[in-house]
Amino acid sequence: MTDAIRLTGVGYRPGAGFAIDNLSLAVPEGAIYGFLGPSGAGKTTTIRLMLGLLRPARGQITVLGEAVPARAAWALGRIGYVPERPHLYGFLTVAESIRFHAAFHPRWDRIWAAELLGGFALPPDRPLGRLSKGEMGKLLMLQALCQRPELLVLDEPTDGLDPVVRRELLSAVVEYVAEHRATVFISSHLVHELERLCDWVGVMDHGTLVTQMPMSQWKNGIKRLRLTGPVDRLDGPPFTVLAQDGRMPGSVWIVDQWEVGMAGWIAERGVQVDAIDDLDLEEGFVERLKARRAGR
Amino acid sequence: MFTALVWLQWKSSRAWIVAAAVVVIALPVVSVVREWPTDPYAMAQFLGRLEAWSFFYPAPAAAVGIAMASLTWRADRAGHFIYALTLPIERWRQVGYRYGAGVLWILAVSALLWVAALVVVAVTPVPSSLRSYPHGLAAKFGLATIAVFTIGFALLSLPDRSRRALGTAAAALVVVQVVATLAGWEANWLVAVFEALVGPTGPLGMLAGRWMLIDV
Amino acid sequence: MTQKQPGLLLRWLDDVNAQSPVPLYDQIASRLKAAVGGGVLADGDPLPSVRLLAGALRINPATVVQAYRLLESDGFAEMRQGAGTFVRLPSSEQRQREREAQARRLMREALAEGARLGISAKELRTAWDETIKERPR
Repeated sequence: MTDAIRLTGVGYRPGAGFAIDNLSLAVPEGAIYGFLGPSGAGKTTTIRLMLGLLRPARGQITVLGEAVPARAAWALGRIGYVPERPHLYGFLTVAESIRFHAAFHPRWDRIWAAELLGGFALPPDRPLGRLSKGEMGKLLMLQALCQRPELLVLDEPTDGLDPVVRRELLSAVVEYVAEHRATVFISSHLVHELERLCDWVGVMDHGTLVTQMPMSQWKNGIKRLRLTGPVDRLDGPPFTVLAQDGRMPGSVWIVDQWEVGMAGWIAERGVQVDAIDDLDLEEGFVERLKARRAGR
Repeated sequence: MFTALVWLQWKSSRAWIVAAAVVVIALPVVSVVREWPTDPYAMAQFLGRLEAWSFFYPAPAAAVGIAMASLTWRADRAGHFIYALTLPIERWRQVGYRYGAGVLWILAVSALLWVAALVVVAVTPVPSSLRSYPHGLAAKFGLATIAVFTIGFALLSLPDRSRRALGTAAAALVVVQVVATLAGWEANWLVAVFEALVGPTGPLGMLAGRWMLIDV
Repeated sequence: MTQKQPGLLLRWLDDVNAQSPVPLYDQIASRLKAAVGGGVLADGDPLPSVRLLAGALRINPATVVQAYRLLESDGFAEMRQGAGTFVRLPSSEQRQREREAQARRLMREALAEGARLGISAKELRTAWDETIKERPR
């Protein structure tokens, strides 16, 4: 299986303070890859590097087999991009903007564009400068989808939109993917949205990748354990301890790299395992980030 | 893609294009109709009065050139060029197409001037001692406008950093000139730069000189 | 099958929860089984297309495929190449097995939740017997 996006040892420093440092990341073809990270982690900068908008100081970027930024123009014809902030020409109307965009994309899907225009209830004759935030989000998504991309790059596509619009946009993305088997790279801080959608997760913090893995591995690997007994006897465990909380009667441990059968290892040491709970994506994200920042 | 960019240029600067079209059609018609002498022997005065209209050609040429250049990238500037840069087209090609789109509209306006000039000349009984220059006038208008547009387009297509450097260099030149003048040196670089630009061989030299539809 | 049935089905499925420890595909499959058992879906009815269902629930299309595969292996559906997935009425024996599995699942969930709150199995059983007795018939 090849990668739709691959970054290897990428470095970029836009100014003092912030920097992307030794960033390596791989998005398998056909994946729906959720890109998480606190604001200011460098998610948008990473996306701009992928699209060839910024030139990395170090490292290699390959998108859909094309070297970026050198051959970005060829890759861009196959990428649908929804930016964090709208960037379209405000003096055009909705219909004009769509027509202009279509002129650059030979695989443009006119029929679906007309359908989505109606489905999204977009006013064709309204200038973009007078669109609401939700309408602008829909237009950006329409333009990105109807160019029939092999890769969708969505940078906070639902940020600041109401739940109804968010659902409409995500449904359109899923329907497209179900039909065309495209790869999706989606950055969002609405973690619960990604949880049901993504099959890969990558986490970024302070300009570098903290972790990336398939969603199933992510969800199975991290557990919350409730333990009673002499927990200080649990020395050198086969799993990683992300956090410990011993204030309750018994202890609560958050552990990573958990595997079935490890409860036996704990029981052998005279500690009772009362419960092994799953964490949802958001909890897991927070715990992994906290542990990383604490240097564990 | 080029067609789309030509259309985009029309959408962004159509007010200027239409205004320029009206002006260049009106200029030859109004100037000749107003100044045409009732006395056939007053041709010398006619030429003198027509020369006074000479200023009205380069002014719209410069205005349209500057306006078109500044409107080409204006919407992109608001969006930090992200849309333009994510269109699937090489950067040099897009810059070329955008420039070409501007030139095309300038040529269209010049063509209107040409047609208006030809019509005016055809219906005016120009005496044998005088000659008419509809082709020359339209060509001069087109080239002058394109020259202004080119300089403006080049400046506005530069990255912000290069443009700032250029501005700083220009400001430094002025400062050095002022200091030099106060120190009593003879050197006069500002005038030299100005002449290099607007002089007969300079890129903007086209704007100066005589703009006469009918002349000796 | 009538046009309004997909909408009806989607309402059955609308509360699938990605945060739950039960995998999404499993939740979808058991809800669809319940729909078959409850007569909402009849033998031969087409299930919504992967595109439609994934889009409506905003979940990964692969999850829907996985759910349909599970339904098929449990004898509740049949995937026909290129045509879609169709309901198959399972044998009464299969249905009975499925009901038992569902009941066991419910009990396991109660036990797990009890353990989390520090309630023993014995206490749960007492509570269960009392609740059954109280329930109006």
